[in-house]
Amino acid sequence: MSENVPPIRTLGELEKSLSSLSHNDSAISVIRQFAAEMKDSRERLDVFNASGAIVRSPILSEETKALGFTEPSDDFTFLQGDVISTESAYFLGERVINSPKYVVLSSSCDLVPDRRQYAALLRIKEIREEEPESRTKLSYLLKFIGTESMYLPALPSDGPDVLCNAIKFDGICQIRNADMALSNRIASLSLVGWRIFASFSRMVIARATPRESQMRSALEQNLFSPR
Amino acid sequence: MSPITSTTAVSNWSPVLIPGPEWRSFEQFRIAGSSALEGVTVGSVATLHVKSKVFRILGDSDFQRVVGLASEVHRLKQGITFVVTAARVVAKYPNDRDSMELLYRSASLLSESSILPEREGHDIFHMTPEEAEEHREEGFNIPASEIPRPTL
Repeated sequence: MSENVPPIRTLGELEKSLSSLSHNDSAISVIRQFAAEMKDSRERLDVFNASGAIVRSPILSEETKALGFTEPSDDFTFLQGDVISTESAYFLGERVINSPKYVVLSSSCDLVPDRRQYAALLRIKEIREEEPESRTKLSYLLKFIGTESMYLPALPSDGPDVLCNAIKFDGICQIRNADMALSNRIASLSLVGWRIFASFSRMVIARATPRESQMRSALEQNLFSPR
Repeated sequence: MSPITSTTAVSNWSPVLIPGPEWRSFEQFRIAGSSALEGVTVGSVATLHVKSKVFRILGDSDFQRVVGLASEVHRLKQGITFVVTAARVVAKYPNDRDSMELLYRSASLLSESSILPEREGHDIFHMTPEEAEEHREEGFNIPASEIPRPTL
């Protein structure tokens, strides 16, 4: 811990220190501001759909080894944020068929072989030309407004009628790590794509309105005060 | 006892794969080049003989279906083991009504249960009419063919 941080001696002080960290949604505000400053959806498409902008080719262990990341803990097969296709994942107990796409939610360090038995995936929904309000959905996703979905460009392997993809943070799927190892790894997120993804993931898990914070504080007002 | 009903939850897809192209040596495969793989259509399996080994080549969509089904069978195995155990008890005590009831119930559970439900891909991305109204962009009607896609 940094030497500049004053020592935390009580649970009350700990809560105060965490209050600006644990449920902070400023990362999402930064992303939204970035998107909002662009003129329109066409400009956003040019930025977010450029090669290497949000997605890139699957990152290979050999690539990172060549850059000097050769420690045993650097080894990986999958990384958080990888886009995969598999028919071995389950949503609410149902196996999803017809080549569905997912993004890997589990942290990269939990995807190391033999470390965990299961991984968590998020669904990727395709927005197709012919579906209702398809351009409105595209425009909406490009602004990163919703808290339950994140924009992903249409990928080269997607059908010709796909306008874009949306990572859904509403509902988590499960897969055995052994099955995921045989999935089709389509893409990895770029560095900034991974940061955007992590900002959404974090916010979906630990989001709170100021009212909830006030409500909880009011309930515990005297709990940690010195006797 | 109610009759055992058939489940509709089990996959309709069955791993029926037909033989595709065959190469008797790696050299033959190499000379044929990547265009040879175009013969490995959906539902077919190519065969490559290399010295004393035989390799099967199939498209990723077929591979994912086979792996998915294998994963499903792995889950089902536990249920089948339960039924087989119950059947053994019945074989040992054929006149015991409780054993018979156990076998019947376990077989019914396997048949009726939602052990193997599937869903056809992910459902559509929804927007409420209010959200659509709020975020509709005038004049933005770009066709998919004009949207740039990143190269991977």
